[in-house]
Amino acid sequence: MSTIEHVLPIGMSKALPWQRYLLDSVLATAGTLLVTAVIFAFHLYPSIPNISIVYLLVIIALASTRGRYAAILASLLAFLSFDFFIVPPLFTFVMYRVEEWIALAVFLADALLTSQLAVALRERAEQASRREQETRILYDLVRTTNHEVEPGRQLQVIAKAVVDVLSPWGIHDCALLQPDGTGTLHVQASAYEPVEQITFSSDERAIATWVMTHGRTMGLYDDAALTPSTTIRFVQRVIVRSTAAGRAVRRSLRLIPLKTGQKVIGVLRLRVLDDPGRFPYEGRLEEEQTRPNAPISFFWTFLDQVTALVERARLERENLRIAVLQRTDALRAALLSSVSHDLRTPLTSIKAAASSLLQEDVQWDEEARQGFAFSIEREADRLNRLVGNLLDMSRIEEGALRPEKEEYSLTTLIHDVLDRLGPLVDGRIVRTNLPDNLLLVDVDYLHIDQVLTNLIENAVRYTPPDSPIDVSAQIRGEQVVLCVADYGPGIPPADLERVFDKFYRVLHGQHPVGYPMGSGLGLAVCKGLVEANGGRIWAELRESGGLVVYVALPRSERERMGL
Amino acid sequence: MSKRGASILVVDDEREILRALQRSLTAHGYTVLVARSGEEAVEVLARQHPDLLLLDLLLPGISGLEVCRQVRATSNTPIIVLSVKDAERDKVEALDLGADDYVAKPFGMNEVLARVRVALRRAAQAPSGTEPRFQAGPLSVDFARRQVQVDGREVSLTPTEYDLLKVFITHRGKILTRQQLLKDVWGDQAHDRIHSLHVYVAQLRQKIEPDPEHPRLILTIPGVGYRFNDDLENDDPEHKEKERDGRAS
Repeated sequence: MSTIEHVLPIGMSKALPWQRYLLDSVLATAGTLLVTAVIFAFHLYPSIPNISIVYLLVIIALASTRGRYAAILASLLAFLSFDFFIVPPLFTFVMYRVEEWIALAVFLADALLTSQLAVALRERAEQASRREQETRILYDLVRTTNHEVEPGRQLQVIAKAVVDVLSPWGIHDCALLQPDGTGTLHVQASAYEPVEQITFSSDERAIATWVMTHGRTMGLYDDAALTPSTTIRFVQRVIVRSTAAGRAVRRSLRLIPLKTGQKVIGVLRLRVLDDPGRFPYEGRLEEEQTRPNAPISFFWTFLDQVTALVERARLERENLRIAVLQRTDALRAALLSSVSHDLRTPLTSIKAAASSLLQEDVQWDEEARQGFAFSIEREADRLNRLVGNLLDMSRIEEGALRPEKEEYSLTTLIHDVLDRLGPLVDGRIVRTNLPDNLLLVDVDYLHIDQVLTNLIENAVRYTPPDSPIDVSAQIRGEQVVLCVADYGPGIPPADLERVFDKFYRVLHGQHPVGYPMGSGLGLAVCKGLVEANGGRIWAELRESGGLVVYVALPRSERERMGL
Repeated sequence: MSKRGASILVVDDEREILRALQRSLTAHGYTVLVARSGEEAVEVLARQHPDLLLLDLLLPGISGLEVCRQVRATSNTPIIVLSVKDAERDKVEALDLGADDYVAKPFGMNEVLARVRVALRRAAQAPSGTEPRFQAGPLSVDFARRQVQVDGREVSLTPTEYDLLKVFITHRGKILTRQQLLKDVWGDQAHDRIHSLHVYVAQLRQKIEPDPEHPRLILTIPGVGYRFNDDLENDDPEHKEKERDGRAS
């Protein structure tokens, strides 16, 4: 898994407005008074008539770094202080000469105009850089989301991006809630907590549902006084979890609807560390949604993008589900064709043998009659085994398989099964290589009986009629490993795992030429049964040719403890 | 071998199965009565007192288990249950209720006949467990002296193994479920022993079976329990039948 990239945080001015104004005022006053002091001290004025231009330097500098307020204040202060301290008569605002009046008035107009131009320029540059940053954030969001292929993880990436971007607003966690088919909200993803661990109290759920249906933002605060007046009041809770540096860190939740057009597709649950004033309250959030260029408008643009991505992830999930359904349909069709083939084959043999016996114009000798009867019986057994596998498969798939585990001797079990398998083995030599001890395992006898039967049936079916089959078992650590090996053609190495898939044979359409088709259920049933009994099954190819299937079963606890 | 004239009540709701059983049993000299529901079975039982009951568990009306219970309340008539593979629990319950044996559907006719023979012979015998000596094939047991011999060689059994063998011999021919074996061998402490039962059986087999890899005395009935087979002389029909029948269970 690639680590999730971080998205740039949203830009925020750190200082509060009144601090800004104070600083602006101080700088403007200090700047102009300094210039005035220099002109005054060195008696520059009458000797250099346009000395007031020096003020413009300060004013432009302020305009381009501090903004409009500082520039205007500096212009006015420059005008007044020049008049007061420099233009004779000194220390009064009175002027006798008309030229001086005109010069000063022009200076003020110049100062104001120039500063306005500088401020406009600065604002445009700032806007451009903010736009660029915002575009960058949106781009990063889309890019990191696209980076993640799996829909479930995509949502987590989105939630993480929301936290990254909005962290300057005090947001430290984000969960994404989406309704299921019945409209109940569920946490689909969360930035930092595992989804399973997220608790979702009843009032949170109630508020989230309200947000979902009304499409309005809501908050949950720990302090009733902070709650904006909404028509609906929910239980207010103190969500104090930790204290940082002796100061209580107050937390609150914001629930924000994700809207595409009029439709609400989900709810974003933001956990906010309350540093008062950092995160705008609901009223302001919604009010400024319509105002262009307001500081919060980007928040909504960003949320729109988040919504679009969440919706896209949802659609992808939906597509995936449909694809799975279609595959299930294909599987079902394969099952039907396979099962009907497998049912018909023995039925055909039975019907043929029975109708042969019934033919009135032929006198069968005793041997032929016996042959027909045997084939009827053999094929009936084959049908019975197939039905058994089908039943087992459906139980495995429904999860209805409950092994009745008891302690059995695997050695005895293997001998019992081989004894019973007489006709199935069909004259093949089954060589056993079993140790003297009992090989005690905790398993369901019928299940392992079925596994061994299927493995041997498979080996018989897909190997030359004169080749032997080896059955062996041995202790390997905490497990007893049963092994059924044949001397047949084997299978392509790439299919060693897939042979245990249901209908592997049907879906991949490969089976050795000259061998009968099987249902493709046998090994899948084995896998289901072995795993239900806490074991593992796998296949390997032998260098000398042939397939070896291993079944590892847990050793009985008593035996492991040496009792 | 078959007991001429013994009457057998066959209870099944499938006409073809009834017909096949009736034909074969009649051909082997038995008198066959049929019933196609639980109610009918109870009625025939009360009226005609058959010697043996072949009972399907899935019946319209009152179930085969209920019939089993009612029969056992009043008589010891042998009951052989016919059941399908995925009804293990019913099968075991019927055996715990007192049914003597079961045959899995689909069954081979030879197996049914063998089961019927064994059940009728058991019913005709005096209550077992009282004789001082027991002999089956190579195995002989002297109960008075607690002595067990295989092919004339004495084998030493642990007390538990001996008790187990004694229970098997007492109920020879009959399927013993795990529950029955546990109760008979360990009594009240049976509950803790469920896991070791199969191990004791495996060990007992090692000691008394002439060929432990192919047991002929103590047979495993998969998913149900065990049966002690003392009919070795009789060309071992059921063993052979099992092989012919493939995976019947």
